Amino acid sequence: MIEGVGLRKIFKSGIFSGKTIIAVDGVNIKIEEEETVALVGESGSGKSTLGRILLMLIRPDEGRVIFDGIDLTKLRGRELRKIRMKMQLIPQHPDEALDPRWRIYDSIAEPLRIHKLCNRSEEEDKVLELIRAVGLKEEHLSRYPYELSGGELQRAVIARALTLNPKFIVCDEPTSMLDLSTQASIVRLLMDLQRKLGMSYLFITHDLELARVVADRILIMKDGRLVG
Amino acid sequence: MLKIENLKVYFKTDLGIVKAVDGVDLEVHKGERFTLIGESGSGKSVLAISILRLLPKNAEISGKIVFNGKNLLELSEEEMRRIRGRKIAWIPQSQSSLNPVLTVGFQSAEPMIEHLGFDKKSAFAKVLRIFDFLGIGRNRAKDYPHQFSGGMRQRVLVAMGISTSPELIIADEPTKGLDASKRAQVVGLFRRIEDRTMLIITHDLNFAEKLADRIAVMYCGKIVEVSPAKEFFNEPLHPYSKGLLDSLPSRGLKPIRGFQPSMMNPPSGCRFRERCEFASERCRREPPLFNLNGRSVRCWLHD
Repeated sequence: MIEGVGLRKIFKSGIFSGKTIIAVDGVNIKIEEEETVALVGESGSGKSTLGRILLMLIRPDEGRVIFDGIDLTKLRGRELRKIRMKMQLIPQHPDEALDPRWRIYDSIAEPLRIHKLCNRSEEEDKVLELIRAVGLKEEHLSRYPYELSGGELQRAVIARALTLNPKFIVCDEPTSMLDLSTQASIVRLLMDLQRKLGMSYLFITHDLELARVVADRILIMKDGRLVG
Repeated sequence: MLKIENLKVYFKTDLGIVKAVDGVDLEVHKGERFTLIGESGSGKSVLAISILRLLPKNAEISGKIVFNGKNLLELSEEEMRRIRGRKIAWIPQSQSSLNPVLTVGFQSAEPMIEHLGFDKKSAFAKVLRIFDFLGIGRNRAKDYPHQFSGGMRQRVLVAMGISTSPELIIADEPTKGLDASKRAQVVGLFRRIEDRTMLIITHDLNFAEKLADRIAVMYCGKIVEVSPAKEFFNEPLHPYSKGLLDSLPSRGLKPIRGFQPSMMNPPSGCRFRERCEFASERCRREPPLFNLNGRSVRCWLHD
């Protein structure tokens, strides 16, 4: 369903020193429909960069990203935005993922508004359906991000990611900032949603135990390469 | 060594009183690694900070913290200063605890100069020895914190903590923000200094399992269980302890139902009862800490 071929990304740091870091170094990766692939590696191994390349949030220097047969690296602007509806990111820090000045409702509804998918009453139905799916209550919708706990916030972020019925989600260490018992409920939620909605996940984590539980397949990344 | 009796720490806020620590009794024996586990908001860090009396002004403390026969809560600030750093050392979380504009060698030498009256030269010489011992390497003493990785910074903080040969070391979440292989290194690091008495605060159960002699579990301002580590991981007594262990990925990834109650108005009686699968009528009354062959548990099931 989504495939990365010969992906390579080099970051240059420092204007004068010209230091370069090869974040992703010739990676081939393929994720099938309804499959969960765990990407495990130490911090700095390039796993988050790889996840973002597959979403085309970072353009690779070399290689192609093929989603449903379309080469995303050839697309620009508007065409890419259209495809992006089908792919989402659940980031590591839920507290940084939502606009602190917006109520939860608006953050969840924003993707619908951006893509002009429905009118206001349809929007409300959709948001209510989403928060029920992720185990939040209606009262959470009128609150601001700082009024929610870490676990509740992550549920709101998941709801937002689901708004556009994506086919592929990159979960970038979605539970590493959460407590143990909260981690269990969030991971369970992600697994349930996948079964119900038939999505593919790239599940990025540094916790091998967790990867064993959630994933169909585990890839290990080290120094920008997949090693197993 | 350290005995805490009926410790209460309340914070007065505009919204009401937050009972962060609400009647805690525990004892840390000489030479052991005592590990306090709990989730965020359980009050474990507040408990640790109150031992050093570094709480903010709006905190109200009552009870006793007896260290080597002296109640720390009754000491003057001057006497307390002679204990902090020298008798009881604090190893903070690694993220931002080092001064970015001083070399790590100088920062590690500072406690010895401050508390033990070392001159700069001999303090620095000792730092070099400690750096070698902890695997930092003496050649890095003149480097600055930003030149170190997270794991290495943690080592520097440990070096700083043990430099004054304190009788008790309190370590606050030493593995927070580190990935798996770095965590293993921190375990090795703490094993190297195993002759010291340590109070380790963590929510990382894998870390606790590898390191702890005894485990105390804190929930909502109260200690709900104290057990030797092995027994705790084999057969936890309190339903909350069991719930925590079951939520580990390797043990089934089963969440605990419900949410942590607010610390402002926690449920009456047992604080875990609304989330507990064994809850019954008697849980409306607060259970005492029951003693069971060297273990203790705050749950009516073990009455």
